[in-house]
Amino acid sequence: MNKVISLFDYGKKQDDFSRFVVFKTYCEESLFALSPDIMKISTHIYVADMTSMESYFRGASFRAKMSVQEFIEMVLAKDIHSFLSVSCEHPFQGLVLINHLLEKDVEGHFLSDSLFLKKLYPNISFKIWISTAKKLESIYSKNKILVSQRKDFHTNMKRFEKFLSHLKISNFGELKKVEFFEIQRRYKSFIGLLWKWSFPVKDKNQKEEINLFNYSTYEYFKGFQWISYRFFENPVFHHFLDFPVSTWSLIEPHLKESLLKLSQDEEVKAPRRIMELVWTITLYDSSTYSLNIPFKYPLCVEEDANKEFKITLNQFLFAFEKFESLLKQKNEDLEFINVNLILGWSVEVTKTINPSRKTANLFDTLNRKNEEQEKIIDLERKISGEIKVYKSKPNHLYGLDFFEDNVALVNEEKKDTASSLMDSKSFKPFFIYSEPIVLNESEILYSRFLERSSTNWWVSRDIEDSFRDYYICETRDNNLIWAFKNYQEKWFKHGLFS
Amino acid sequence: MPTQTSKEFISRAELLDKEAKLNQTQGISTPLNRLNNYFKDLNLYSSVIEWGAPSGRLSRLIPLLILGSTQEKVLWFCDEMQEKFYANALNSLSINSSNFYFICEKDVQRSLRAAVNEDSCKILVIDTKTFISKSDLNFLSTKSRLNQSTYFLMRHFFLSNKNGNPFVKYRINSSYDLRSDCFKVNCIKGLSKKSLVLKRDEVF
Repeated sequence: MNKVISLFDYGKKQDDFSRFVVFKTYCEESLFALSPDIMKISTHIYVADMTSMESYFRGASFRAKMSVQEFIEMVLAKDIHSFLSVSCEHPFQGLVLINHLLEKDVEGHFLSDSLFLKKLYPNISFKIWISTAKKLESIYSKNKILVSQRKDFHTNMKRFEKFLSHLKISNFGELKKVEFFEIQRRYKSFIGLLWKWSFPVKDKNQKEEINLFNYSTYEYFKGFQWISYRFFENPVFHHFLDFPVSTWSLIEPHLKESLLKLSQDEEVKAPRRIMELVWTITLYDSSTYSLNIPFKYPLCVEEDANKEFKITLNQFLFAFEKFESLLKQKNEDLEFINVNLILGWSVEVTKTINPSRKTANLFDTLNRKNEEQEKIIDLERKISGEIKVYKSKPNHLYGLDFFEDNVALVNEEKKDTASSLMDSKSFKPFFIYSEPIVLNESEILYSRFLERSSTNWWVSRDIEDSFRDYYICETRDNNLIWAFKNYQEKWFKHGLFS
Repeated sequence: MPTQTSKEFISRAELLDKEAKLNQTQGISTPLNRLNNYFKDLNLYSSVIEWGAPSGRLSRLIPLLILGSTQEKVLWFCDEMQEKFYANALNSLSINSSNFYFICEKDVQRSLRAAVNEDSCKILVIDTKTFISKSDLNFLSTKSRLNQSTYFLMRHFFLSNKNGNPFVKYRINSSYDLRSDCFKVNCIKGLSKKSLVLKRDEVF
């Protein structure tokens, strides 16, 4: 059998942002300074899901001239008073690591894919792995989650422990490669899941070629049940209408009243920021519909109140339009008119972050120096989609020489001109596929040679595969495509000129 | 001491002066002299410019050159797609890709409405197959004058004189022909010069 080839290896990341942070703190009041999504594992150990905060943290760390991890570390230290934390791609990964580090009596903030931790992985004992697994199982058991998967967990775990002691394996590093399916077959679903989270299985369809884009996927997150932790009640504001309404123009003024009440509540005042609201609408037939209203950046509702709730109302409008089309679809076979008569609603503040006053000024999302960029960031808060910027980066491989970035990270002083090592004046398409697509030569009506470039031959199976001849081709469906031919005369479609 | 009447006269004169400045032809300043010459009568600001830009014809290259030459922020609205914009294509035309912001969504019109109402950006490109009604065009035309903004309306078909559009100032077709290796620009409304042919070597 081969040695274990992946230990918590969720793939190469494009940057240092990790989805989860597992931390230990004795200060429960300031838990929500990092993220509105917190899960309590045990007394003083918590997991934060940073997904909803990614755009904000990238922008804020950029403006504070720090890396994302340095910024997160600062918030953990200053606000949450956490002395030990791990940034990781999977909560179970972080929990095992933090338990191991606690045993070693270590303090600080660590990245799961750092060299330091990677060297520690082979020394992590199965004792820690098992105690972490048992802890997670007890949480799920308390909340009655994954009941069928956890059946006979303790019996199966005892058998697993016997198996390990029989093989005289105590640490990760001593383990030979064992397929996830074997573990699942012998020890049932839940232990199989835990195993998959610890030793991610590479997709059989994954290509040999290293994809230098971010290919850490959230596929491995499947099965992990998130249990949100709150120790205070969410503020809820009810609004009852004197007469039913159905159109946005009639709803808006009443909604403004609700938002005004909300903005005056102590629970949402600065330095608190809102990340999500839930708008529950009651219709004439007493049915209720709950609509989630998320915010891309932490919203200071008091500031928005000064601007007549422009940002908040825009998001409510988007939610209302989706709601209307949903009802229309539902009722399309009925002949009623005015089916959307609304009698009232409630607005619940479901997700907030709570930075301390020390770091609250860092939560200002707008860069006051640049008005134009400020307007675009402000626009992003008002629309449902994201605003993307595409920048180039040094790489001689076409397709890997650019990346998608956050609008808040555009550096005004730095022009993004050609930084590819190849001749920047060569004819390039405006649209590019994530990966080259195989192209049938018969689809090409006419082609014109553009240039020769190199491939990432060092990961190719074929040593001779070292170049690509790029062409602009006209295809049978009248498209102008950017295609290349490799040394085997195989054609691939890589981009679209228009 | 200026009287009420003279104050009104001064403010009206200032307004007329502003309008006159706006109506002055501005032209463009790309690295291509022939293209600049062709568009020398183009008044880029406070206008809606309709481009005939069907797919597969590299039709967006000429508008990109014009947009790049302004050195201003551009908001580009387009339909949701799997492909990504390739920054180096802009850089190869000496255009700063950081000036271009892309919004790719299913329902582009909603975000477009917000951007136009908020006057978030002076130059907007509307590159969608979604049907744009006459009232929308009227709205865009009015807003472009009020906000002194430029809206590029990319159509996924070639424009023709058979179907006019009173809401836009300029109507231009552009395309690339692979066999002759040339870019063709043809204005059907707004400019005095009708067509231009540029060889690929001139552009790259």
